[in-house]
Formats: sequence, structure tokens, C-alpha cells
Amino acid sequence: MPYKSDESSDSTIIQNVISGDVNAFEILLERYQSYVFSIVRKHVPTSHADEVAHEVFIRAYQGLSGFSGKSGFKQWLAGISVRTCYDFWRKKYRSKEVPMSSLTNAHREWLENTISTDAVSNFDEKKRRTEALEILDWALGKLSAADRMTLALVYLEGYSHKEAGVLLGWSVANIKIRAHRAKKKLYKILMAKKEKIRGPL
Amino acid sequence: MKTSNKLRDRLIDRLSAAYQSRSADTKSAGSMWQQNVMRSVRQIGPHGRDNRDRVRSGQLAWRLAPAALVLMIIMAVMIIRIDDTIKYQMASLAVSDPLLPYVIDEAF
Repeated sequence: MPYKSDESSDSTIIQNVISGDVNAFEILLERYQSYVFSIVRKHVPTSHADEVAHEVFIRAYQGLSGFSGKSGFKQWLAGISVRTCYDFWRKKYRSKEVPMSSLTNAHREWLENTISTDAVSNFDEKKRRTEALEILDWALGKLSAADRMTLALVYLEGYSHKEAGVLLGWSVANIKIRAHRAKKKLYKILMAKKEKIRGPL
Repeated sequence: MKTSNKLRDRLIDRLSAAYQSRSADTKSAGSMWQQNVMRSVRQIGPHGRDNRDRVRSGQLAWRLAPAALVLMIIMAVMIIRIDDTIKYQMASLAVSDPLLPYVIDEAF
């Protein structure tokens, strides 16, 4: 292994990989796998994180010759990770394989507590975090891949429209419109579900 | 309407807080996963000269695309104009032909 030192710069390693040294890619893999996993785990179910992260690194390897180095390798890899997650949901959406766990009375209670105009002050957010995540996963599953990713990046992770646009490779205008529509859709879906689970489950 | 927007924002804020709590998980996968990725990478093969040339030629093709488009537009305009010129020349030939009235008389 010629790359014992992990201190080589990204650009040196990339140059070596492009020159035909496949093993040099392992340093990039070690250096950035936690970062890629931190992105992927936010967007896809844990059971699929390994497979999606694997795909991210394969795409990165294949696209390495086209890496211009303008924005830095980490930023470039973040874009690949987000777009791979988007493709994951696009495939799932197309094959209608979206996991749809049903919501229960506990979820409805969470929704009511959150939405009620006179919000209850002693509403324990920490205790109900699991319910919130289940509700979120359920509602995101109802959105298209594009809506889901835009909403997650802009409203849940707090990226600016411009940053989200760079990550997804879309225009700022597209992101703005989609994010606004996706937020409205999510609210509508949750309100409809809340009314529905008011009756028998 | 304002209340509805407020409620919507509150809901998104709460969901976002829950989402952020999940995001804290940054642990990487095991060595088995890493070996699998490297195996796939090795199966693809090394980035060779061919690969680089392919990428470069692809980039060059995209750089030349606007020029090719302009060339196509110019050629399309030229073809239309040549077509018009031919039609005009044929019409003026027909008008200036002294035999044409006789030909028309013969025909009818």
C-alpha cells in the first residue's frame, strides 16, 4: 500500500486515483465514509443506508475524472450523496414500495398538541420525539421524491435555497417553488390524516 | 389564513427538531462494508487514459454544443433563403419568357 499516510491532500489522492491507482481511493473512502453516512442516514431508512452509501462511493469513483475541484471534494461528495438518496426515493416511488406504517392514537395526540392554537406548554417534546419521527416518515412517504428531498433539505435541515439547489443540481427558483408546495402538501396530508384517525383506527 | 400558516410553521418546526435529533448519528459502517465498496471499485477497474480521454471528449462535445447550434441555425436560414431565391428566379424567368403567353394559350 503506497498510501500509508492519511495526511495526503484530497487533490493528491484524486490525482493518483485518476492516474490508475485504485487503492488510493480507499483513503478517500476512509476519510469521508462517516460524512457520507451522516447525510445518507438522514434521508433513507437505516436498513438501506449501507447500500445507498455504497452507491455514493461507486458514483464518486466513476465521476472522479470529471471532478473539477472548484467547490472542494467534500462538497462535491455531498452533492452525489444527496442525489443518490433522491434516486433511491425516485425508484421507490416509481415501484410504489414506499413504506407506509399506519398512524395510531398516540400520533394523533402528538399532532393535536402541536397544532392546537393554545399549544400546551407541558407538552413533552423529548418524550414524543419517536412519535414525531414516525409521523414525519409516514408523511414524507406520501410525497414524491423531489418534494421529499426539497422539503428535507430546506425546512428540516435548514439549508438555504441556493445550497439545496447546488446539492440537488436544480435552479434556485425550482427549489423555492417546490419547497413551498411540498410544505403545503405535507401539512395537508397530516391534517387529512388527523381527521381520519379521529374515527376508528 | 395567518393562523393556518402559523400552525403549519409550528408543525414543521417540531418535525424539524425531531428530524435533527435523528441526524446526530454519524457512525460509519464496518470494515466489511468498506471491503465490499473497494471490491466494487476494483471491478470497475482503474481510471486509465481511455477513461480520461472519454471524459475529456465528452466535456469538449458539450463546449462545442453552442457553436454547433449556431451553425445549425445559420444553415437553416441559408437553406430557407436559397429556396426563396430559387422560387423568385423561376418566377422572374417565367414572367420574362416571351414564349409563355403562347404556351398558356396552347394549353387552354
